[in-house]
Amino acid sequence: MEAENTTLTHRQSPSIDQPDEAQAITITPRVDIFENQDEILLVADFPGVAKDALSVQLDRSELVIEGTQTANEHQAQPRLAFSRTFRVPHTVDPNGVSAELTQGVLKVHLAKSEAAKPRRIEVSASDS
Amino acid sequence: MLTRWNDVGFGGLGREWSALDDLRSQMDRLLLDFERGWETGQDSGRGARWMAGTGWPRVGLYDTGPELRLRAEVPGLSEKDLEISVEQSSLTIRGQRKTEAPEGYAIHRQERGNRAFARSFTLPCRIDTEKATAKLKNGVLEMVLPKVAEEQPRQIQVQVS
Repeated sequence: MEAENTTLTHRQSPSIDQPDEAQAITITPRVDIFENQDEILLVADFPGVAKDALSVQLDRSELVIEGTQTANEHQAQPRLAFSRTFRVPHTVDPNGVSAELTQGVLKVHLAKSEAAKPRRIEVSASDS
Repeated sequence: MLTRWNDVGFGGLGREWSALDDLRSQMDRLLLDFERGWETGQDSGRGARWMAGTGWPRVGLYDTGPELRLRAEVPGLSEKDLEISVEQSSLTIRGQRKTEAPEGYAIHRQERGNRAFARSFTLPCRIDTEKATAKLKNGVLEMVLPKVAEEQPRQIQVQVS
């Protein structure tokens, strides 16, 4: 039964649990979703979020992306928190998920399992 | 082999629901703009704040006393994509970002969009353009605009006779 539990956790977000998170307003980040033969690529705007305040979690078929903006001493505006949940196709390999954050943009690469990739089938000719 | 992507809660309800999904996102943003506007009247410990309108990028402009500070959320833009010009009492930010699908990828959803923008602000006081600074971190542009000497707040001593 162990094989059924494909929970993958990338929790690297100590600051998400900080008490001052209550001040943050949670909104839905805008995303782009692309796909090719090898992977599904999710791109999301997370301006002002540092790497250690970011969380990408895949639990079975549910992908959750969350992040909270860094507090700024001169920023009188409320901080933003971003959160969004997606249903991921079963073709995604739970062990093949990686994420990168550059210039406030989060990219999540969801690799497809080998079985889900398109295969070229050789036709053998027997009537030579 | 393409499985449609849905946010949980809208899963399996079909294509027409994605419009609702977008509407929800827009409502989130509307609410946010409202909240931010609302905040303007409160929490004025650090002095006055101006809401710099709505639109993209989201911009905040505040007065800390000796300087003005501008904060703009510009995810996906590098310093090369931004052009800032500042005069004594006005500021213009221009920028462009491209969010095209990487080559060979099919598009499932595109909400981020290509953005070209130019925003101008009339500043509430004159600033020392020589000392103005701008830095970009995690997709947020932060500018510090020191006020000219005459605009600096002054402490007035009360004489006791």
